[in-house]
Amino acid sequence: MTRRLTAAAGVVLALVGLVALAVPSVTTTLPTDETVVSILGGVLLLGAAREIQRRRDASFEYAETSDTEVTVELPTPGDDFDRRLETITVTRYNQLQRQSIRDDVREVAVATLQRRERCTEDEAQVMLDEGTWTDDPFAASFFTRRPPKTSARNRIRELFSSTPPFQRRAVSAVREVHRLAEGEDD
Amino acid sequence: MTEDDAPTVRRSAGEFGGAPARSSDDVVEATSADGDDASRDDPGGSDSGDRKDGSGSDQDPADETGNGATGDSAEEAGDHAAGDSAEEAGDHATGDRPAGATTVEASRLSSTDHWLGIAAVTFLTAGLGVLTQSRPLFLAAVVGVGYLAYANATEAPEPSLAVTRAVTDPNPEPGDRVGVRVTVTNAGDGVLPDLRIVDHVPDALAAVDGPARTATALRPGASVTFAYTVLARRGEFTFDGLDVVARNVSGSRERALELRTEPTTITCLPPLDATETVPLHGLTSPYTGRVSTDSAGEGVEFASLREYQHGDALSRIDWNRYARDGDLATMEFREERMATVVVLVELRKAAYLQAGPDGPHAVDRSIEATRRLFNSLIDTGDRVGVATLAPDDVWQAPGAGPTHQAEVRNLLATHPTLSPTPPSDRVYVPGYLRTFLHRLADDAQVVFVSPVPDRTSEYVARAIHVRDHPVTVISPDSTRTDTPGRTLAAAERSNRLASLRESGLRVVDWDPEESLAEALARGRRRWSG
Repeated sequence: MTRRLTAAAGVVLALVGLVALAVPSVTTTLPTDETVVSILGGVLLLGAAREIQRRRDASFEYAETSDTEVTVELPTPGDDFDRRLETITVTRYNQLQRQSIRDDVREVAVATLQRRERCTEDEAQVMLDEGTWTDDPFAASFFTRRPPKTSARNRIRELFSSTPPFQRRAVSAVREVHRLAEGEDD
Repeated sequence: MTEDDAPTVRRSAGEFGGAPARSSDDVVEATSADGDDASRDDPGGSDSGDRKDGSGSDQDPADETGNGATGDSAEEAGDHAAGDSAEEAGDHATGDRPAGATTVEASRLSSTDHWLGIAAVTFLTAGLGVLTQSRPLFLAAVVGVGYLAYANATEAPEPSLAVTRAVTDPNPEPGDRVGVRVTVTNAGDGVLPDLRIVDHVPDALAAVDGPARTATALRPGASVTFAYTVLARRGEFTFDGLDVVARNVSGSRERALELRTEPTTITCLPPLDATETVPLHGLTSPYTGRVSTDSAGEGVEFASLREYQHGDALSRIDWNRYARDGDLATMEFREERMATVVVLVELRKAAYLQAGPDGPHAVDRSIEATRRLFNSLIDTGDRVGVATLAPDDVWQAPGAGPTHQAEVRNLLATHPTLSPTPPSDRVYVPGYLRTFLHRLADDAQVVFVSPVPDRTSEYVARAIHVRDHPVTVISPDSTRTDTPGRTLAAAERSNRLASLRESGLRVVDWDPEESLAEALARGRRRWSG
């Protein structure tokens, strides 16, 4: 309703303006001194400021249409783990997150050791804690939580690698677990 | 954005395989009458829509139509559409409702904020003009006022559309390419200066050729046709919706609609084929069949010799022995009996997995395996039933004969529970198991088809096995080893299958690279060795 009223007022004023072109005397009754004009200018600039602000806050809002052409994407098992592993960085240390990743790998490692080494769960846990389950020093250190038993050169290389040590050790551990699990079938 | 896609716009409904011409409906007659030049003409300033925003193409939609921007798919579909499907669409259109009638499911009117900056420019030039008493600056604001009037003078139109849809083949084979042609007619009285249309392709189908959308301007009675191609897969799929966005001339206001159209269905039944013999456990019914048992009696495979008893059939007497020693002995054979098998397919949400972006997913492969197993078992004379471990469970009791076979085939192809898209509900497994075990006959064995995605599947298989229904697990492998997470998941699954094997279940690990027959043969070698 206000929209209509302002539109109507705009049209009337435009008409008055047009009439004033032909009959300039129409506008003589309007106040035209400096102060009024300055105030008018100020109000217009304020209006401009408001509109600029509105424009800055707003972005185009078009209706989004769905990607109807593609089929539903299904996950591949393990994608969730990858996502969690990727968020590991050197700079932001998140103990809980690291622990949950370690627990996940450990669970599978224990099941694999029980199956392949024919040992009990406790024995498997001990093997993991002592790092005797694999020859890969990085994989072993993932569970022992001690520096990998390898040459100084390899350790320095790990230090300067772009992937965080935790991530690298996790990847080694997973690779070793998989190698064990996929070994000759019994 | 829709305008980035080059729409495959055809000129009129008149070309649409004659479907509209068959109908007596007003809307469609209007379409046929002036459809020919309708979309070529520029209806009421369609060139001034939001295409000025710089994000879309410079071309006027009507120009695109005029140029005959028809991709191969449109041509192809066009050729097909002249055939059976268009006929069918025509027949369909002669029902009670007017052809292509649509209902609005949802509607949303909103501002696009498209001309918001103009007001700022107008105020600024006017204000500065007044303060500096500069006439040119002040007059420049008039241009802005003009644009503001243009932007706000009109409201987004409320489109009234008639939609017809035709498919080249309503009963394709899996893997076939099916052309879909959608014709949208402006059945209302007003011009639609800026119309974007997106067809609802069923979730499980992928549009492989041409986008399922178009953008155009339509004056009353005019229509637009666009075509795309989908890749058919097992199941029944219904096309019954359309997303429409209609904007006013300036693009400042828009109306987003969800339309429900007349449904068009494609039903894709996989061909009948039975290729592999399914190795079964020794649990059988009392009826004669093909599973060799340990009990001696009638059969073909020699089992043992016993002393002749009065009444034994002459054909079973070992005459060689009689000739040698003069003793009468009766040969016994391994009895071959019929097995009762229930194929249980896992369709829990967790089973919807895919090894990489290409190829069929685990559930597709499970259902494919079920179909093949069912056909093979029926062919070898066993009684077979089908069940699903899903939120809405399906139970087809074991049976035999052509009717049963047809029922199950249809169920496997089109039942909504066996959908290629994951269910939203969860399964209460203990409750399900109770019902399932209650339904199983005492002599039934179970073939559990599942990717074994988690411990629950393992539990289900074990729970059935320990209740004296031997279980054979057929597990489509959907794991990969290209990332650490996937490698870990592969190791986990390998452990799960190993643990099932240790508990006495037969497990066939079905690699995506090999056929089911190969996997079964590998499994058989393992069990007989």
